[in-house]
Amino acid sequence: MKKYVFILLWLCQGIAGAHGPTPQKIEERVKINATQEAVWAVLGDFQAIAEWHPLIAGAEGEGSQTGAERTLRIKGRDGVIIESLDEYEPDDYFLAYRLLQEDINVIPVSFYTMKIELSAADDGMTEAVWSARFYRADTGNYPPPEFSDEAAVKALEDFARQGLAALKAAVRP
Amino acid sequence: MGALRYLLLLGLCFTGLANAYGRIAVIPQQAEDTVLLFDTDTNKNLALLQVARAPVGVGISENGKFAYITHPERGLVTEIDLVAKKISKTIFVGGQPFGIQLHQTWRRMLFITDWSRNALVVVDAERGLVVDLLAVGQAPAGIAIDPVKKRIYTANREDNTVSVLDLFKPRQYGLIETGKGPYALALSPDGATLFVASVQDSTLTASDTDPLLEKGRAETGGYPYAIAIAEDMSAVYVSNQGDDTISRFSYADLTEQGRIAVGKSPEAIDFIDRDTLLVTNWFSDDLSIVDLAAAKETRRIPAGKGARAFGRFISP
Repeated sequence: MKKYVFILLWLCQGIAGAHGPTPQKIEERVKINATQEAVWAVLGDFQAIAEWHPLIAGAEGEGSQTGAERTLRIKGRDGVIIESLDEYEPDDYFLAYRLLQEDINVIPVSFYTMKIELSAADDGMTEAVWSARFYRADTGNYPPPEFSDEAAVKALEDFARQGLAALKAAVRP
Repeated sequence: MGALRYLLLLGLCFTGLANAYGRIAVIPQQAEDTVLLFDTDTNKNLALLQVARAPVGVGISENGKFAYITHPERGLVTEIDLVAKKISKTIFVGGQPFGIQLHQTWRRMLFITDWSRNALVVVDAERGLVVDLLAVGQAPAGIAIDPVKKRIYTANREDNTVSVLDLFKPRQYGLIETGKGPYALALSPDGATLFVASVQDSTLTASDTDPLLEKGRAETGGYPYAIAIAEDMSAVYVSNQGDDTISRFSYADLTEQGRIAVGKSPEAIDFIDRDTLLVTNWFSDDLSIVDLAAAKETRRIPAGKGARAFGRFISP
């Protein structure tokens, strides 16, 4: 390695996508006094999230099969994000999806995968677990506070918590 | 360096002789800024080292004495003396250093993928200096070195290719097309086949290295994050981060032969011995020990926060 370089690249900083920074995670759970079937009746329609999630202003898309996409508008924010369904397992009461097109001014993350799973609790209730793995909005090494790891964690924690509370309220036992 | 030395080193690898320092798993715990040194013979923790922020990539010297850890968020590389079990050096390399491999010639050299500068950074580890910066594809992550063919392979996550570079001259041999989002790669022990796992379309590709041609492609579970190749070239194992499993593929034709359930969000996998895999589970903050003959997890061991390890993380 005595010779130098093809090209020096000191100026090409920072345009790469997510994954350079540290992945973050959240996991929220709630117990619902209903069967898994009853909770899934609300949760299982991938396109119906606007009907129960208080932060969603509108959702557009078709279907609840693997590969289905939905375009979301968030209350109080301009712009949209698009999500795509990776796994849909009604028999296991489980779904997983990813952020397909981000807008860091809508939700301050550059990428996420989310999973929601319903399991039977001992007392006949259902436990809903909402987990996510994600990367902050600004994937460079010097993010401003609004696009930092902390901002991303706070936003998704809030999104999952409010979602679970509303899911619980929306279920008819 | 002469070919004789490489043959001797390869000979050591193939016969599975342990290095003089004992086998240690070097596990960066990205969310708590520590590196766990774990004894794979006794399943006990040897040391927990506080390091710079967000460690992730691992490369270990052939003699098992030094481990190098990347810190993408700080542009740093930490050198750990595995005998003293202490940090022996910190090297500033800039950018977002991610995957790392070593090559020993007259000096110990580090080859590091730089996520944000789309570059391969070459570092003289003994002097702690960057000596070269080479252009590769967009957002390079995984890296493999073939000391016999004298090549470097990098998986370029944002442009769906593998760059193939000369190990000793700053020139590019060629590009290999892969699936979408190539992240981890692994070279077969004979150097003839390169396996690449692509996270965005969940595929495993196998390519001949002479000539550089894809020869097989298979679907994996969700988000394949690491590849481990059996030393006898009978099987290839892939961690499926999205479905909490390890897939076994036949080496010859990439037929999937089963999945083994492990902890949540498995990432790094490496061989403890020919029948046993060690797995880092990023979401559940633990390690899985997998018996490959029985095709099941035999033990779960608690780890620190964000245990990852990108690269071969168990010393030879």
